[in-house]
Amino acid sequence: MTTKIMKNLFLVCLTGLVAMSCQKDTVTLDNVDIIAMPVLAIPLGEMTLTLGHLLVPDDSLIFEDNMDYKLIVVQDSVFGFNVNDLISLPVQSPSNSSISMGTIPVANVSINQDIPLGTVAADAGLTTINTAHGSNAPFPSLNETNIGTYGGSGFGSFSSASFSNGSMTISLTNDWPVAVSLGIDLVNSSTGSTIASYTLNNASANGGTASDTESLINKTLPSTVGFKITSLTSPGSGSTFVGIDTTDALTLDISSADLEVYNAVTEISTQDISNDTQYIDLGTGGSEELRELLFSTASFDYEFTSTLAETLELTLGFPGSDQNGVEVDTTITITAGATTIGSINLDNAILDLTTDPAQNHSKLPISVTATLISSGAQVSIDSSDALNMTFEMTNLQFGHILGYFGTQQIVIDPGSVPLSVEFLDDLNGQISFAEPSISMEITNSIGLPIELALDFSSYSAGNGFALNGPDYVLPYPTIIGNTETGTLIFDNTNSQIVDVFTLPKDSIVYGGAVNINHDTSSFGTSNFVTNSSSISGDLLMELPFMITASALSFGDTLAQDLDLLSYIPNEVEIKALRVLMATSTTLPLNATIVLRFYDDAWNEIHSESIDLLQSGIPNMNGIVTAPGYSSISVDISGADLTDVLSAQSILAEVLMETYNGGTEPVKLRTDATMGITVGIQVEVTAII
Amino acid sequence: MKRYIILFALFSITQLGAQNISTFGLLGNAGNLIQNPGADPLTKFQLSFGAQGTLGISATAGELFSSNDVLGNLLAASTEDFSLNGLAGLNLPHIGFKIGDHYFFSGINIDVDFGLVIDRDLLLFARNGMADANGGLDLNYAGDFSNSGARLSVSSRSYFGYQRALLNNTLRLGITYNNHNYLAGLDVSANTLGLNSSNSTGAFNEVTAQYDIDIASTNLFSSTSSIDSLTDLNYSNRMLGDLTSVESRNSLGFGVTYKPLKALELQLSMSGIGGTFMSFDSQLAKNMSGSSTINGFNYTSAQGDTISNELSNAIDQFTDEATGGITTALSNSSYTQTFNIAKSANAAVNYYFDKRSYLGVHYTSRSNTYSDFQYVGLNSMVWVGKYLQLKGGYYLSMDELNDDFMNVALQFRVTPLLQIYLGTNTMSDIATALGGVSNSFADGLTLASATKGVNVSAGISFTSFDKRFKLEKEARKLKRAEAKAAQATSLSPADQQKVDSAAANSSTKK
Repeated sequence: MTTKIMKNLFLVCLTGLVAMSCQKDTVTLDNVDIIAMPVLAIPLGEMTLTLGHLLVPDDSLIFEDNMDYKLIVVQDSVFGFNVNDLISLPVQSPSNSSISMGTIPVANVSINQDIPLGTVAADAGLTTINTAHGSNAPFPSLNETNIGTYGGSGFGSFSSASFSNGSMTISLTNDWPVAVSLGIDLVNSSTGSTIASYTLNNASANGGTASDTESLINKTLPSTVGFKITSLTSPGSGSTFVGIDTTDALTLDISSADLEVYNAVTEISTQDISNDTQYIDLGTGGSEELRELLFSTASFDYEFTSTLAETLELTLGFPGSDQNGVEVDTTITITAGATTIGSINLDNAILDLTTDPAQNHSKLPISVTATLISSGAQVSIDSSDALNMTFEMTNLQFGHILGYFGTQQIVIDPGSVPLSVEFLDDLNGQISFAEPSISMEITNSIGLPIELALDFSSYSAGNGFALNGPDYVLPYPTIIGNTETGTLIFDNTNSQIVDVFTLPKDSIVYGGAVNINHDTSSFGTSNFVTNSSSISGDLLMELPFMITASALSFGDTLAQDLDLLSYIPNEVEIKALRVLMATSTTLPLNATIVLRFYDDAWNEIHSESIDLLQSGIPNMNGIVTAPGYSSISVDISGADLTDVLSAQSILAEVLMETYNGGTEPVKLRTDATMGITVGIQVEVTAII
Repeated sequence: MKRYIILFALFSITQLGAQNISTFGLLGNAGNLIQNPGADPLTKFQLSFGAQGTLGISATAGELFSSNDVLGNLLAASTEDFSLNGLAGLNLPHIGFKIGDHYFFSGINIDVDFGLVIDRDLLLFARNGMADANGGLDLNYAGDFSNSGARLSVSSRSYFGYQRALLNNTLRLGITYNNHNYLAGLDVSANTLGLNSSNSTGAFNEVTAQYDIDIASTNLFSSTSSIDSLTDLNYSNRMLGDLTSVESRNSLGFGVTYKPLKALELQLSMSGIGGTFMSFDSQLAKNMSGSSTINGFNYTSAQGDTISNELSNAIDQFTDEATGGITTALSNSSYTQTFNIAKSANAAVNYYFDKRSYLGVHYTSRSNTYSDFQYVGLNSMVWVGKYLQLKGGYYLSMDELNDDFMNVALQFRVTPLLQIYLGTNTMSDIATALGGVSNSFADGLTLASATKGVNVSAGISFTSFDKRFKLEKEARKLKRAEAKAAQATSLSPADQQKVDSAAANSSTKK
């Protein structure tokens, strides 16, 4: 019974205990969240930029040892030309000439012919005379014809000759005791043909003379001639006894004068047949005047074709020339009837081109002397015999030319140099350079005055800004072989270069002209060039960054089609955002960034202006000596943060100006630094 | 002290499954015999399987869920680190059999123990970031999260017990031999884990994260030499089931049950005797350490730089440093794991107000563990026939570390051979939750404010009780027969034969 009671009691207690164990102090697990509200600060980073590393030197940007930035535009040989642009020797055409033999003077010839009285008496049938030989007797009168032909010898110096000039005289010396008149024909002893007829009248007795001269023009003398007595008259001694000696003779002396043959077989004496000076015109046809010519290479080529009967010695000379101290003079032997080819080396020969009396410039004199060399033998000659000559100057390269090269204008080919500096490309506003300059480094070895009329402009959006600088006479040498150098400078003292280089600009356009011998009254006409003469001009444009700038701005789209909220989990809410920036810079530049946030309809929904850079403090020379500092805190929360996070697009505008509102020129230096430290603080709420 | 306990708990692996208040005192229950080898087994054969699950956290439900801001509640309620510990223990299986006055039993327990500690500073950082006590940003913030860690262990206990009944079954002495095996486990312990911010300029800070974490495991991963990254600790490198390195310890337990009176029972038992902790080098010992200083990208331009590229590189480098400094690379290390053998003691004085129903006082303690306790409980068990046992008790914690609890257990026979039991130390929490569910499930789960965990024990056994029940039945029959005989003059031959037979089989005859 007790057990049962205990059991029941226990069961009741246990049941009650279990029932009572249901605790009244309870909690309900409903909408249980894990809520985090962390505040975090994270340093994003720090960067220190040195301008020298940002704007690295390239073709258009350099910095000097003093670390000042300088915008450089270099264009080598912006203009240039060499001697070939000024003057050139024309190609020489072959020159033909001829030396003709013409009539040839022949030495006078003489023949002496005695005709004894006894021979004539016998031939004439005058027997009484022969009978009276040795006695004194009256000498009968004579009137005989065609008594006979005497002689028959030749002249010796030619065997045949046809004369274009000359005469032959027959003189009679009468040793007969009575006066005599003779009619004599000069006949070809071989053919008996009469060449010329002479009349010798009244040659007095015992030594009296008579003569007659006949022209030999168009007469041909054979190798042997005879004297045919065509008539013999004498009055006789009448009754007077005269001593009769049949050995007394009539003496005929034949002589010639002024003989010139046009065709002969004869012996020609050594003789000059030509002595002349010819001039080769080297003129360019313009106003140029060449006065002295030094050939570095040249060849005087000749070809002689001779139809002469004898060898010819031809002497060619260049009067006034100087080849290594010696005048160029060459003798050429031209073999009879042959063609002779050769050349005369004129390398390094200085030729005087002023010797032509008719034109004191640009004429190359060539003297020609021809000497016919006698061989001592009879040769067949004809007046048409000639020496045909062909001259040509080849491989002409001059070493220098002195003279006057005329007035000429060479146009500088227009050119354009981009003046696009990357970091300035997108800038609004202007940067003005205080001390820009353009210099033209001239190297000139052409000895003539040249004036440079430079056209130089910069262009921005189609608007030109002309330099309007002075025209310069380029430095030039006055001593042949020298090279002159010099620099032509355009700066802010002699031009409007500051306007030209107020940036940004798109390009630089250059052009103009080079005027040669533009003022002969001032600079004379003594010009020279050498074969290596040239002139060149290298453009050097320097824009030291001693600048003032204001209202510089550029903008760009930082981001589009943003959906920042999508990156934030639904469980996370950004409550506040703080961006901290600290900057220090030795740039002489104030910079403000404006971030503009736009919704999908491009309505600006928020903007933040951040004074990013505070210019360093420059000294009087425009060099920053103390950095500028700025400390920025951008706090965004609430609706602003919502706007920022919901923005679809972000545009950034950067506004810049140099120190003190761009009123004081400052220098941009390579050692300028810009340090930026960025950190963010963010407060978020996350409910999980 | 509490903090120390938590740390100890995290990195000291302890086999706890042997201690189960729910089964202590349940008659005919294997768990009872395991805890007290001298307990009356009441069976001549038993094959049982049991399980025990415990999950506890360092805060009460009331603290955690006082509002819907769990993290805020947790930080507001406690200044200690948050911890979570759990145990899953299995009896696979337990066999006991009786030979005369001798009872032999043996079995295997498998315990899976796990724990997680999250440093309060880490919770604070998750909650407030670098804010100071006033909620303002503290650029000199210092967060030390190094108390964070995790633990997982799998251990087994093989035991063999022997009990001898003496003094006409009034004294039972039992002893167990236990072989404790550490099978596998993973320790993740942070030597250093922190986030610091320092500020020198007044505006900007520098953030430094440091970590130095030991990762040790045994018998979990193969190819330990090729594991050089956190990602290598994956399923493909598993080794569970291939126990190449088993650390073992032996311990003894004993138990005494003495019934000097029919209604009085004294129990004393201890376990874990001689089984102190053991330490061993973990099979896999890796260290993951590094630091990352986040001071933003730092770029100083240099000649020849392409600024945009270099800046991009600097930012990339910064990103790499910020994240890459937190490397998952593992370096070889050495790590000594400890395996503690729990020491437990039970003492009970039970007054049997019925043959097998009692009301008693139970003292139980556990030491050498991460969850030591000492309880004194008023315990009672009601034997409702042979089909049902009801046990309930209220346990008063004798230390500051543990809370009082009410234990309830029931065991009943489904069939003559099949018996199941169910118990819990968190009856009030379960009852409250179940009550809340029954009231309005739609309103959410209702927990008792004091709830800090859940404990459930369950098991099934095939039990053949010893002949006492039969004898008692026959005695009852005999008693009824004697009563009937007292009313009759003589027995019939059949009845006389039954009486003689019962008398011959009666133990009391001895």
